[in-house]
Parts: sequence; structure tokens; C-alpha cells
Amino acid sequence: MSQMIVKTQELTKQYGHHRAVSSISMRVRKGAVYGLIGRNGAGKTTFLKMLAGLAAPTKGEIELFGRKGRELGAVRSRIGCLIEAPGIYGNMTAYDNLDLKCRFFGIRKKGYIEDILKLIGLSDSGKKKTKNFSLGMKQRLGIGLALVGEPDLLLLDEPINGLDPQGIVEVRDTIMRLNQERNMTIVISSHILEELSKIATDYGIIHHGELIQEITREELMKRCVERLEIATDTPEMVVPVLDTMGIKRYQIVDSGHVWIFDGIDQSPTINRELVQAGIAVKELKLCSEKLENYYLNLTGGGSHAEYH
Amino acid sequence: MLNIIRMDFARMMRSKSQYILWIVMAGLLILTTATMGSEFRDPKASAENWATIQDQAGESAENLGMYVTIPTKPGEKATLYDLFYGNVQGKVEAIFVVIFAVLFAASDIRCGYIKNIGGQCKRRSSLVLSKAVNLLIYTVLTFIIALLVQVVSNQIFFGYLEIGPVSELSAYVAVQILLHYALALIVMAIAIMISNNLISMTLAILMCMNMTMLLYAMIEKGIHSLFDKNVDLVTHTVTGSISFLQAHGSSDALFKASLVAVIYGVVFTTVSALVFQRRDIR
Repeated sequence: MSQMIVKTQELTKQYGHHRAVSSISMRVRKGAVYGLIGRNGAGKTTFLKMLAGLAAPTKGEIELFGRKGRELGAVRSRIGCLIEAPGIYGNMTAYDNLDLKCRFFGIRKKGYIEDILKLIGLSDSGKKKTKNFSLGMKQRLGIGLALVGEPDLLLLDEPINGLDPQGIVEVRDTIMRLNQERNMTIVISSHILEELSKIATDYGIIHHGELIQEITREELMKRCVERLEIATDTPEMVVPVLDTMGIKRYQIVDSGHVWIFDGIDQSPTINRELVQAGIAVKELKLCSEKLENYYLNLTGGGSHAEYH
Repeated sequence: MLNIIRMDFARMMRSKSQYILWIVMAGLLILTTATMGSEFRDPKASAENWATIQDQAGESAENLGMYVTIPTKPGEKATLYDLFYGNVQGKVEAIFVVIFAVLFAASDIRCGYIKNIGGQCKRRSSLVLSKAVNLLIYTVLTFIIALLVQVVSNQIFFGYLEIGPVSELSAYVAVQILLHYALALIVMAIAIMISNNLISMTLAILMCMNMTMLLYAMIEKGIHSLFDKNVDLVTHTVTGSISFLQAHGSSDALFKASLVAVIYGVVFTTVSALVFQRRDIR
């Protein structure tokens, strides 16, 4: 069983009368890239701030690396984070900003800062002050700052905001490399679902401060893939018919539905065989769901959706 | 903790504002010394200056605003001690200490850099303590620079360098460093707790211009009307102690001023550390 790096239990954050995060119980396994999906104002940033130790929960518990309560202080240095806009000193260079964080950790290794600058693509920034950086450069520096200290857990709040297509690809590649080469656990929030789908291994969908679903990539893809949906009162009688037809990939979803993933272009033949077998088919339809639509259907927010 | 202090020290040394403030302070000290030098050569002005000093010695109420007068008797040589005392009492050094304290204490919060480190400390209050340590370094360096500039200015504008009683000067400088450091800690606490640079800076400058005298006077009046007791708040405050610590004060006076500095410094630093520890980082 995978070790759980992050566990939250009924985590809640209340600001006055407004409940920004409501009773979130979540698990992130070691080595996962956990995508936190939600529209603006859903509670993603507030949730990440609590994990990062920047905000105290109103209720609930956080467990990181097997530690909780007062013991959390001992493991906080194993977390790197980029929350909202990158926090950088405008009158300093990228090197100086990274140098300060290295001093915070007591890191004196030669070439350490240069390696990070190379990783985030800012080796050529030289003496340029960060106040003159583009948004994408600032974002990358923010990621670089999060990487100082070799964190085991990386919390990234919408890291591709403001990046051009090339920048998005570079950040995505960096994240994947960190996950694969360093086995870094990454929690990344975004409302750009298509990008998230390329890197995340697990998903948590947040809506109005609540975690409405946790799902793995495999499960999500299954739910989004093209399929034939059959509505019938006797799904168990459908199975022998499909086996006879040589259809191997299907799933009895519940007591009234069967999903078929093979031979979906043979829907008239499937329908005929089922009827001939005496199965009352209430509905037979071809379905496929884009990730965005899956999210929108789940949250019921078609008119307010943000997708690209 | 040591790493955090090193980080803040590097940040302080890389801060342009520190050097700009020192340059401006040096310029102001040169200007005041030049002015004093020319006044000193005028017997009438010298006598007026002495009369002002005599009036102030018998009072406990401060004047509003900033001013510099030196405690040199007419006909005597103006010493380094006299000039240094005059500038300190006029809060010349104080204003540059508080301006830097506001800028330094809040810059990591203002630009958001605190998000990179605030969640990774075992105890967030150590970030406040680190700032306090570095403000001590800044205060000491400020006074060293002030003294060096004064030495050079005295030589140039008075034509001689008379230091004055060294042990008394040393004791006075040490206590004033302590008082100015306490003032820096008070301002740091205000900057951290209020999280608004404009208000913090305004309050800090008003403190240096003795505007808090109005507040103290109101409180003293209130206590008198409620309890029929006369209370002297001013000499129990940091800004009051900076202004009223006499040039050749007794050891009791020096001790009392030091105690005021230590108490205010510890209380304000503790409160700001606790507030910072508990408050969310936005």
C-alpha cells in the first residue's frame, strides 16, 4: 500500500461568516502528482495555504509525513510551496532571491543556485532585477524558490498562470521530471483542466470549499472515455450476451446500467442481440465526456465554468 | 535561528535604503554642525542657545517638532559630546532608525517573500526575533557612522576636535543606542501588526517629532482629573527618555533610561512575535 504523505481530516477554514474550506478529508500518496481542480474561489488556495503552514485551520487536522499536531513543525522544512503570485524581492536579482532562501536553510553548496536557475530556465537572467521580469519569469522563479531545500512535497498553486505556451510546456516538463527523477510528491492546483490531465496521477475536485470527489487518473479516464451506455432493469442478463458477441471490455455500473467500451460502432447489432435475448433495453446511447464536461457536470456549473 | 538571522542580515546589507538613509543622515549631521559652527562664532546666537538649554533643563514638557541645540556654555569649546548630544536629543538619528525599521520589518511581508519561508519555520516568531537582532546591528552601525561623521564635521566646521569626557560620552552613547534600539523595536512591532507602510511610517515619524506628547498630556490630564494624582508619563517613555536624558546625567538617570528601553523593547518584541506567530500569512 502506498505511503500517504498528506492526510487531512475534516479540514475547515472559516473567515468570519464565510467558510472557505469545508471539512476536507483528503489523501495524497507518496510520489503522486495530485491535481486539485476547482474554479476561482472554490477554496484551492486556502486549502494549500493550510497545508503549507501559512494559514491555521479553524477545525480539523493535517498529517504530513506521518506527523501531526505539534510535531508538524519538525517536517515543515520538507515542503516547498508557490502560493498565489510569487513572493520575490523586486530590487534583487533571481540569484539573490534564491540565495536568501539558501541562507534560510543553511545551504552553502557551490553551484546549488546555478543548478536551480538552470532547472527553471533563468540561467541567463544575470543582473536583471526581478521587478523587470515578465510574469512567466517571475512564475518560474517562484517555482525555483519552492525547490530550494530539496523538498519532498511541493505545493503549487496555479503555477502555469500567465505563462506562454512554451512556458507551460517547460513547467509541465519540469514538474514531471521532478516527480519521476526525484520521486517528489506534488500537489498542483489549476483551473486549466487540459493541462492538469497531462501530468496529474490523482485528482481532487473542490467546489464551494468542499472536496466533492477524489479520483485517480485511470478512473477519470474511464469515466471520460467513449462508451455505449445501456439502461436496463436486468444488467446481469446483458453479460452473457456480450460474452457471446466477443465483447470483453464492459462494466456493470449499477443495478440499472451497463457501460460497453468495445465495439461501440456496433450499437445496432448489440441492441438487436439484447432484444432477441429477451432483455428489455430502456435506453442505448453513445457517450463521451471531455474532462471539462465531466468537471462541469459534477459541479453543475456550466455557466460559470472556466476551461480552455 | 542563526540561519534566519544570516538571511535577514544579507537582506539588510543588500538593501539600498540602508545606505541612502545613512548618506542622508550624514548630510543632515554635516548641515547641523555647519549651522552650529557659524552660530557659535556669533556671541549673540551662542548666548541665545545657552539660554534655551537652561530653560529646557528645568522643564519636563517637550517641544513639538525637531530641533537641535547644544549644551555648550558661551566662551567654552564645543565638544564632540555636545554636538552628538544635541543631534540625538533633536532625534536626528532616531528618524533614520525608525524609517529603516519600518522598511526592513515589513518588506518581506509587503512583497510576499514571507510566503516562501513563513510556513517552513518551526516557530514563525523566530522571523520577528531575527529582524530584532538585525535592527540592533543597524542601530549600532548608525551610531558609529553618526559619531564618525560628527568627528570629521567638528574638525571642519569648528576648526578643532574636542571630545569631552570620554567615559561620560561612552555611557551616554551606550544608553542612547539602547533607547534608539527600543524605538526601532516599537516601530517594528507597529509595522508588523498594522501591515500598512503608510500608517506605520507616519506614526514613526510623528513619534520622532514628539507628537506623542499630546497623547501623553491628555492621559496625564485624565489621570489627574479621575484620581487627583500628578503623573509624569513622558520620562517613562522611550521617546521621552531620548529627549530628556541629560548630557552629563547621573548614573541613576542612565539606569532608569536603560530600564525603560529594555522594558519597552522586550514587551513590543514579544507582542509582535506572538501576533505574527498566530496570524495567517496572506
